[in-house]
Amino acid sequence: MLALPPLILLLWAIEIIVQLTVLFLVVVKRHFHTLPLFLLYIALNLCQVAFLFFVYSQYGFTSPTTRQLSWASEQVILTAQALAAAEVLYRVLRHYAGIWALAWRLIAVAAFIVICYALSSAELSPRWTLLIANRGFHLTFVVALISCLLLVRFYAIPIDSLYKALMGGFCILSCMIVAVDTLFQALFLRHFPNSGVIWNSSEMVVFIGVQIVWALALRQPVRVDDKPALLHPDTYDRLSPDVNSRLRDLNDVLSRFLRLQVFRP
Amino acid sequence: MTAALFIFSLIVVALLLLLAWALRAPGKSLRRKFDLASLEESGRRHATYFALIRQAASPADMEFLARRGSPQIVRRVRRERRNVALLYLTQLREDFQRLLRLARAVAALSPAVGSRQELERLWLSLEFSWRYQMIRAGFHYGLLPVPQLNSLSHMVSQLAVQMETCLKELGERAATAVQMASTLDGSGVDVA
Repeated sequence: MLALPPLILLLWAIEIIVQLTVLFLVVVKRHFHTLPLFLLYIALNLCQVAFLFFVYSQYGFTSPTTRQLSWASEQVILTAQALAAAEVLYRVLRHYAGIWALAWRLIAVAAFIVICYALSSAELSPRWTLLIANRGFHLTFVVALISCLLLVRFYAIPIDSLYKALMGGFCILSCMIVAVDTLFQALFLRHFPNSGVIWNSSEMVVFIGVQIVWALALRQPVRVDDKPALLHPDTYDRLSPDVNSRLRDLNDVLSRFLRLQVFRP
Repeated sequence: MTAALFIFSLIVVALLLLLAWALRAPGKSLRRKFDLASLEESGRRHATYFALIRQAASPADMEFLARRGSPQIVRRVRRERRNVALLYLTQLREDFQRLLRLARAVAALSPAVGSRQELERLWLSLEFSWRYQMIRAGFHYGLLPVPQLNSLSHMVSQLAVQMETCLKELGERAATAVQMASTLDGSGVDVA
């Protein structure tokens, strides 16, 4: 443990305090009823801290065993993160079956595209496979989540401020990890001193910031919303093609308007 | 490696901007999301004013003014005609937005939606938006002349009648469907 830089130790201590606060608020404010997977994610993060503490004290900060074990524990956290974010998204869209189904299709398409990219990148530089896989995961995660948030906005579906804070936090965290991973790779290749410490401390600072935002948001209870009355399944099939046809007509007016002016002698 | 850092930084900035846009408070138009009553409101659709606009923009008037009036008046009238055309475009856009709101409300409240229909609508709205901005910018900077509205008259008059009937019918159908669903469910349509 003595091998750890003091900055990392300080950030670690702050991170533990903030995570315990978030966990406390989830339990005390009874959010665990609606967000059990989010609770699991926070609890697993705390367990990872304890696990890493043990690993570092046993094998040191830079040994290959430490690297393997810490990446292995990271996989569990990443899975929990994906599940927790999906749970929050489900809470937002649970009353809108059609849009929820559409969101899943969007997630699948976004995930497929980004995973293909990540796999091809990892093959190109085998030495950096783990880092590229980590960056690929976060990129996939953030692209899928932001796509769904855009969908939610497009259909004007109301989102509680707590869910906004949670999803925004997940996205910011993943975005910053993508940036920090890339920065680390660049610094390492230039033999920049303490690149590992910069990498770790940057990620920890972002994580602490996100947890503080979550803690602030979790102080408020979630607004209870009424379940909207859904339409008969036939209604969409009957109305949607008609509306699209009218939209096409209006588009056609503009198209002719434009053509008339552009090609006018 | 510097190129990768640059590219990923750009991607991250773009994603953060998209996130900020997706999470910001909805505007007035979005807050009226499920107000189906406004969609079936009586009153003329804006496309139906085309005949009046055509009359206001008659080339005969301009010729008359050029013969009898001063150049200042001709310029002023030309400017006014441009403003009328711009206003008309804005109103056409409102009709388009009204239809889009109807479609989004129906999709949001449907138990199943078709990806193809939704993608088509997204594409149509992007296309409309692009054309609208092109025409508007052209008028605004004087790059495009005010069109010969006569040539569009017939087509738009036809469309206006169709739109008038269709929007009213669609609005009524959607509102009835929502009302029926509310009755069966025993709750309101308040999703806020």
